[in-house]
Amino acid sequence: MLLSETDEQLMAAVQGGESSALGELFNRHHGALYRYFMRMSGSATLSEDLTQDVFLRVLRKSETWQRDARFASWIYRIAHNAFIDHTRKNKWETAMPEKLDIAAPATRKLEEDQQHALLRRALMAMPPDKRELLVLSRFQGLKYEQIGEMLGVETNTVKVRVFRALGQLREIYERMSGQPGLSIVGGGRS
Amino acid sequence: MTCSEFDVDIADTLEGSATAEARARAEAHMAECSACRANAALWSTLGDMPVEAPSAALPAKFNRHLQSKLSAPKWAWLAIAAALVIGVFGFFAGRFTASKTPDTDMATLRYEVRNLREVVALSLLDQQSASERLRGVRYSSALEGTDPEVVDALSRTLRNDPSVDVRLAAADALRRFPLAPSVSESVWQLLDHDDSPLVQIAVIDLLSSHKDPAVRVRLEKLRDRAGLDSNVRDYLQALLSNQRIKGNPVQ
Repeated sequence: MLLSETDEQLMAAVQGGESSALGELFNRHHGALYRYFMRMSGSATLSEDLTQDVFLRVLRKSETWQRDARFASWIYRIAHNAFIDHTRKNKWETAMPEKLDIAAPATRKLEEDQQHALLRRALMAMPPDKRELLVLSRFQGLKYEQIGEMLGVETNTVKVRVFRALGQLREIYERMSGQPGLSIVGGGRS
Repeated sequence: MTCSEFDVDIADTLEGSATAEARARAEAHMAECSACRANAALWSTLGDMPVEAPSAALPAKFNRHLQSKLSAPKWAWLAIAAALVIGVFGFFAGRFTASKTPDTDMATLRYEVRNLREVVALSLLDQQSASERLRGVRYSSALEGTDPEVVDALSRTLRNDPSVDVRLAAADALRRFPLAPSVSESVWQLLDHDDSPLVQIAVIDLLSSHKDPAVRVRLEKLRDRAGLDSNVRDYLQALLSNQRIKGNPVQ
């Protein structure tokens, strides 16, 4: 029965005290939230903990859920707050970027793997607020409008910030790789 | 025209929500601007990055966590709060009842703060969340003195914690404490049970860091044991041939 219900219907059931509905919401969204936290923190252990924490917060804050609100925007706002709370509490702990061996690649696949590993490091080197814009828009597939709702800013502001964050990521990537651009890109902004 | 005038058009084009006019403007600009073209190419590369998946055990772990919250022993937090209140009360009671010499005050203050830190460390080690338990281990290793209760808690964490990261941190933290024979024996037994080669190596480091002459003989026996992970065996071989461990080699 739960399988055919929308997220919003399940959330209404959670508000009514049905904890099995929270289990179904967890099954639907835990993978995406885990990926959000992985991109934000780079730590698998922390990502699993924060993913669980989000759903426990959903339970605790269920009375603040408004039935006309989009569940996806709401849960990402909770995830955003959980991550901020964690970084505030643990300022002295920084995510350890994985080691990267940038030796000459033997195959196309290896070259791609190295490019992705370097991109992950470049992402981790960005300020968290800019990294989050790229994570939400590119990896989590949220629309600019949803991100705006979540962060409390205008949709056009989100678009401008996302595109500028993309430019900043490219600059960091180029610095890290010691090359003027990805193998497919290059040049300077006019 | 400058790039910033096209930010919105290009962002819409990347998302796939641009109108035909906006898309045409974005494409015309990117045809001339290598930086914006590069950013768009990067967007595409980001989309090809592999997707990480959580462990398959996460839903079951969450269910257990949820059930424990729902049948909530609120007393667990009450116990921590009570311990903190008692610590603070003890501190002030000590200040008002003890003699007022500055040295005694400082000693009392240090003692109370240390007790408080131990209470926090022990309660963190009991948390459901692995990152909280990791914090507990780090907190424990920063404690002054060698409270047997903290050593016991770290040893229990090393033997039983489901997270490899936490077990590794516990093994590392225990290196700065002297190990009682019973604790040391239970750590030795761990080498028979723990299936993580990383943890086994951390435990070997822990045991060999203490000056026990019997360590070398036991490590040699371990090295020769059938079924030992080959990386652990290589590590042991290197360690034993390094002559850093006390005792005579078994002939």
